[in-house]
Amino acid sequence: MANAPRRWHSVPVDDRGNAVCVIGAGSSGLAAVKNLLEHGFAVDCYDRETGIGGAWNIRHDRSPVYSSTHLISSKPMTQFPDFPLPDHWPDYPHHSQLLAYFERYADHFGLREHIWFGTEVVSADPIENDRWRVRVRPSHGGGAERELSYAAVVVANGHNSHPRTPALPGIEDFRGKVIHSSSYKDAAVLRGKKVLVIGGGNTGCDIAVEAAQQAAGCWHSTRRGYWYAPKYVFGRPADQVNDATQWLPLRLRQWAFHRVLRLTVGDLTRFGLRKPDHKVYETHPIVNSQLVYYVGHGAITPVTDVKRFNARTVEFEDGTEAEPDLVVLATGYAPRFEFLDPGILGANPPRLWLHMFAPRHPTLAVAGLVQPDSGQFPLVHWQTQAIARWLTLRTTNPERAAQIWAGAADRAEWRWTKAKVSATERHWFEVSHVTYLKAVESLLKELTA
Amino acid sequence: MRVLRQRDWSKPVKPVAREVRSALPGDDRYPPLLFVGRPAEFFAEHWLDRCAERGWSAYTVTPRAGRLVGVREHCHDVVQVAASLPRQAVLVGHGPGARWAAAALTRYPARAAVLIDPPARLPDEDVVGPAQVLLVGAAGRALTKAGEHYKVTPTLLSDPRRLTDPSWLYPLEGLLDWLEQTIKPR
Ligand SMILES: Cc1cc2nc3c(=O)[nH]c(=O)nc-3n(C[C@H](O)[C@H](O)[C@H](O)COP(=O)(O)OP(=O)(O)OC[C@H]3O[C@@H](n4cnc5c(N)ncnc54)[C@H](O)[C@@H]3O)c2cc1C
Repeated sequence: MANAPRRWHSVPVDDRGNAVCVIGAGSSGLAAVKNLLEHGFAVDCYDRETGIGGAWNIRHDRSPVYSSTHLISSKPMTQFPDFPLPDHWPDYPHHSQLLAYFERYADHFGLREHIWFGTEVVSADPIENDRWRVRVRPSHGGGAERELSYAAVVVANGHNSHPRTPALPGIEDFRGKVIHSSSYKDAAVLRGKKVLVIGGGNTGCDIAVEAAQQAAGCWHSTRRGYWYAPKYVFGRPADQVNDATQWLPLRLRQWAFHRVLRLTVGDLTRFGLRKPDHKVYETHPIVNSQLVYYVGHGAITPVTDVKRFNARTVEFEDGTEAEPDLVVLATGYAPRFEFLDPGILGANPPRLWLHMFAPRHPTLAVAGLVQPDSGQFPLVHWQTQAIARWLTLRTTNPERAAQIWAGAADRAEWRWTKAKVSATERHWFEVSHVTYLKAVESLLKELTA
Repeated sequence: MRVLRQRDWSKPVKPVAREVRSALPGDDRYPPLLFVGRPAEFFAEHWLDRCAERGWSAYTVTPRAGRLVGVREHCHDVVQVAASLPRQAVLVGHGPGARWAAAALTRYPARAAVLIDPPARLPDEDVVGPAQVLLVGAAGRALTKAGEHYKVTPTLLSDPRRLTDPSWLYPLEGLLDWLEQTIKPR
C-alpha cells in the first residue's frame, strides 16, 4: 500500500493509503484495531508503552491501578460483548486478570502484528482530502521521527494518565508528604502513617479502606456526600440486580435503589458521613462495600472539603482539623490530547457527537472517552464497530454518509445520561450505559441500512 | 446485532465446568477448529485426529445438558470455549450442534463456520464478525432456508445419515478442502 515516499517539510511522508492510524493500545485501542481489521481496514496502532493493556498494565509508568485494584463493575457488564471473560474467573476480577484478558484478546484476534510499541504519536494534523499527517517517534529517545499519512485517525489514548490536582490553599506550606493516587501502588507507603485521603471517587475510597487496614489513622475528605453502593446485594453483584430494573422509570429506580441502600448499607449520617446532595445515578457510582464498615469501626474519620493546609495541620470546611504525615490526592485524572491542535476537538471540554466524532473532522474519531455507570469495554466495542462502519460507508456510499454526517454537528451537544448528571468538571463524559448504547445502536443501524 | 443485552447483564448464564478434547498438530498454520455436537466422542474418536493429520488443530466440546437448559446456555458454552482458544476459531456444528454454532455466530466473531445439517429454525440475529459460512446437508427445506439466511449456496451431501458412520470421512475431507481454500494459512 505504501507508495513512493513524498516530501513534506524535510521529513519524507510515508503514504499509508487507506490505512487507519490508532493511537493507544489499551482496551479501547485494541477494540479499535480488532474492529477495523474485521471491516477490512489496514491498521497501524501506536503505543508509547512497550506492551498492551494501557491502564490495566501495572508495569506501565502511567498506570492508575494499584496492587489491590479489582473491577468495580461485574463481569457480564464489563467484558467485550464478543469475547467473554472466562466462566471460572470471579465476579470482580483482579487487575492482573484484566491484563491477561487483553493479552488473550490481542493474540486471539492477531492484533499484535499491527501495533508499534514504544512509539509515541507526537502530532496528528488534518491535511487535504480529509487525510491525516501523523508524526511518530520512539518514546524512549533515540531513533528518528517519522511522518506518515493516513485515511483516518482513531484516538484511544485513555483519560487516566494525567493526574488532576486541585488548587489546595496553603499546600505549598505543608511539611508532610503529598502524593497523587496515580503514584500509589500498594499499601506499604501507608504503614504506620497518619493518612489523609482527599477524594470520594472509587480510588479514594479504595485507598481510604487500605489506610484503615494498614495506616496509623485515616481521614477521608470528600466534597460531598456519596451513595456507597455495595458490591453485592441479595447475594448477587449489585450492578446485575440494578440492570434487572432498567425497564422501570428512572424515578422509580432511584426510589427503589435508595430503599435497597437504606436497608443494606443503612443511614449514612449515623456514621458521620454526609447525606448525599444528589440522587443515585446522578454521578459515577461509588462501589465500595468496606468503606462504611471501617467508618463504623472508627478506622476512617470522614471529613469535609479542605479549607487550608498549614505546615503541620489541615483545616476542613466543617471546622475540624487533622495532622496527617501523608496526603493522598485521589482527585482523578483529566483527559488530554497533546498531539492534536486544541481546535480540532472543539471547545474544552471537547464537544463530540456521541463522545466520538468531531463535527468538523469526519475521519477523526475518539474511542473510550466515556465514563459509564457500568463496565466500559462493551461501550467501546460498539463505538469502534460504529467507527469502522462509518469509515466504510464513507467509501461505499459517500452520499448516504454525507446525509448522516449533516445531522452530527447539531447532536454534538447532546448528553447520553438519563439522570441529570452533576455538573462537576469530571462528569462531562459520564453516560448511562443503556441510554448511550441505544444511541450507538441506532447509529449502527443507520450505517448498515 | 443486539447491542442492549439486558438479560445477559442482569441474569448471566450460570458458569459450569466443561470438558474440551483436542488433537493438535505440530505447527498451527491454520486457525483452530471447534466441533460442537453431541456426542463429543463422535468427533473426538473419528474426526479430530484426521484434522490434526491435515495440519489443523481441532477441539470439541459438548455443551451442558439438563432441564431448564436452552439454546442460550448452549450458545454460552460454545462461545466460552471458542474465546478460550489461542486464536479466532472456526466453528463446526452438526445436527443440534449446528443450531448451537449458529447461535454462537451471533455472539462470537468466528473466523469461519461450517453447519452440517442446519436446523430449520435459525437465530433471528445477524452473524457478528466476518465469518464465511459453509452449509452442508441433504437437499430439503431446512437447507434451502439456511442458504437464504446466510446468503450462500449450500453443498449437498448424497447421504448425510451416514455421518454417524465412523469410517466415513468423506464430508470431513470436503470441509477441510473448503476451509483450506477459504482461509489463508499464516
Ligand atoms: C483505578 C481504576 C479502576 C477502574 N475500574 C474500572 C472498572 O471496574 N470497570 C471499567 O469498565 N473501567 C474501569 N476503569 C476505567 C478504565 O479507564 C478503563 O477500564 C480502560 O482501562 C480505559 O482504557 P483506554 O484504552 O481508553 O485507556 P488506557 O488504558 O489509558 O490506554 C491508553 C493507551 O494509549 C497510550 N497513549 C497515550 N497517548 C499516546 C501517544 N501520544 N502516543 C502513543 N501512545 C499513547 C498509552 O500508553 C496507553 O497504553 C478504571 C480506571 C481506574 C483508573
